[in-house]
Amino acid sequence: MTKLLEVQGLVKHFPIKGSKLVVQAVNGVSFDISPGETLGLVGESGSGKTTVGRCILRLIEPTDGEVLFKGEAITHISQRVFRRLRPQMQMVFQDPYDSLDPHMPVGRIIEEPLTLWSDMNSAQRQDRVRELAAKVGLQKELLEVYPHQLSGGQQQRVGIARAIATSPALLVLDEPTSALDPYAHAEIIGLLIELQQTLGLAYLLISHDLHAVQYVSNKIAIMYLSMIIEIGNRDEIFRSPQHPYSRALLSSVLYPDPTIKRPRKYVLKGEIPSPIDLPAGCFLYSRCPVALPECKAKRPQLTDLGYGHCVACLRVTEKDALGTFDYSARD
Amino acid sequence: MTDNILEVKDLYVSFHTREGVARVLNGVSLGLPRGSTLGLVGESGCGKSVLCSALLHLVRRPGRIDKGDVLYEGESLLRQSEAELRALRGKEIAMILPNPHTALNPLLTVGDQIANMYQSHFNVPRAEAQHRAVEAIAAVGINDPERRYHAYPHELSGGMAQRIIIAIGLLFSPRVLIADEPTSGLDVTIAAQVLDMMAGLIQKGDSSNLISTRDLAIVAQYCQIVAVMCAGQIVEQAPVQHFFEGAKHPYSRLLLAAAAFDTAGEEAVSVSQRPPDKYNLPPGCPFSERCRFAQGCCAMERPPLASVAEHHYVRCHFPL
Repeated sequence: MTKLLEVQGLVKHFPIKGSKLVVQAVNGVSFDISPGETLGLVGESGSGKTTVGRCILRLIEPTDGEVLFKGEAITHISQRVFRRLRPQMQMVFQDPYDSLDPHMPVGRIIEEPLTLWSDMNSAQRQDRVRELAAKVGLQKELLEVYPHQLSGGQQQRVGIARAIATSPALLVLDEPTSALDPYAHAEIIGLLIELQQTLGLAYLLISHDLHAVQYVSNKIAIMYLSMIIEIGNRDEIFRSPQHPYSRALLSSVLYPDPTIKRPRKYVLKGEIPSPIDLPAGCFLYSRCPVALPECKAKRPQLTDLGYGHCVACLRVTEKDALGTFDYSARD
Repeated sequence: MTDNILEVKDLYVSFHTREGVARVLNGVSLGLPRGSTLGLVGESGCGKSVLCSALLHLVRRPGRIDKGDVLYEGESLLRQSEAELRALRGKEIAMILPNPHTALNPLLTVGDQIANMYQSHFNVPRAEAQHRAVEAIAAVGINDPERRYHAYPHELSGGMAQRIIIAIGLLFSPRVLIADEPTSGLDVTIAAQVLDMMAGLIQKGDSSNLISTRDLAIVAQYCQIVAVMCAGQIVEQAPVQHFFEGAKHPYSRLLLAAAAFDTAGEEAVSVSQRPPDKYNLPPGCPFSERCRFAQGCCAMERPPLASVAEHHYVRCHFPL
């Protein structure tokens, strides 16, 4: 199957002004997304997941690595050439209000990408805007109002309508629901699923809301401190996470159902190290409950356990080194 | 009769602003049974935080308590003097605030803030208060408490600052702990640690706990009783198990559907998604505008809080 998006060894380091130090936000991240598929990129704040999304769309320029879109390398081409591809890959931002121009009525916000990227005349654009509004569930009267007059959920619908205006193949969704109330949050998740089914969109869903990611994604990639430490199919990852960090993360997810008991807690000690001064070996070494002396020096690479379930841990191939992850109560 | 350590009786709170009078609490009645954890849920703006501050008589202008009472161990808190209240606050009834960085004083080290708190209730030498502060910091699982004593709030991560807030909340082993969105804004692993810690510390003593949250998962995993708030009214109160098996109020069903990402089903709201305008509340049920089961009388007549099962109450003309 041809991949829609391939990310290969992506690196982003931010230099710190006035010193030789760098913040290592992303270190060698690789994954791919097929057409119509959703990859959930999860991790805690500061793990680098938003930077990955921004590097793919070249909102910031990556330090190293390559991104292929429909097989075409897009990282090192000029911005002018790259911009021609941009209608096919769009982004939905975390804060729906901050990402909309407060001086433009909603209809013009949705129309703007069409003005830039299509040959439509004004009347055709108006028709398309009404069509888009209907697709995302915005009443057409709302096209005349300004963003501040909308609720958070409606604002995010505008952001989504704008993103799909140019019929993209890929949407990068950066925490699309974290600023919303629970009901609006659930509605936007429902809308994203519906749009994916009707338009065949592929999503890169960046989120720390594991419950929502589990609901939406086909594949899950878990980031810890600038690297993907585990990636695989959704059910595989949620049922039997292997990496100690994944286990700590997934055993912390709370489900809105009192009959679901949480698995035995997997607690990491200490705090996340600074991305400025990363250790030589495994980044989890100082916090890991099953670390061996060699973990301190050797940085583990992603190893395929089969079925595309890859884990970056030296101990993962050892039988029973990590113990079983008790999810029995959840199935 | 249930034994409530804290009881709210028909409480009305309004905020008098230039735009008019916002009716934020509209006849809240709620009991916190001794030794249990109650989850207060509802969308943002429904009045959860105002209720939490009213429980400590901390509603400040332009807010005003118009009517009703808050009873602690059967005695009215609202009729006590400021000095009497100060003796209670923090010591017997403590509160955990949602945003640790705004709740802490940025100009004092976290240790000194805890020590000051200790000395405000006990006449002890500074050295002893400082010693107690170090113990309190250690009790919430922070490594190297002596060093952290001297940290300023901005030097701490969100999770650690929130643990300091919890250390302050639990300093005197309060009999009632009120936690207003204790984990919003924290990462999942930290949030789970904070909640486990609160649950553990509560188990040790015999304190009673009220957690205000938008997250039904917290209610499902950490609470025994749930109270659902909508536009300043408790519309349903039930044991957690009953609630998740069969909530009776349409608004509760809506919250449950949202938690399960089921917004296309029959619980979906049809008309407006916005909560009612607090400056202009309908005389009847505050959910009636959004409720697909609403009938003529719903907008006009406020339904009574009726018992539908043991310890299960609903404020609805047509419970599901």
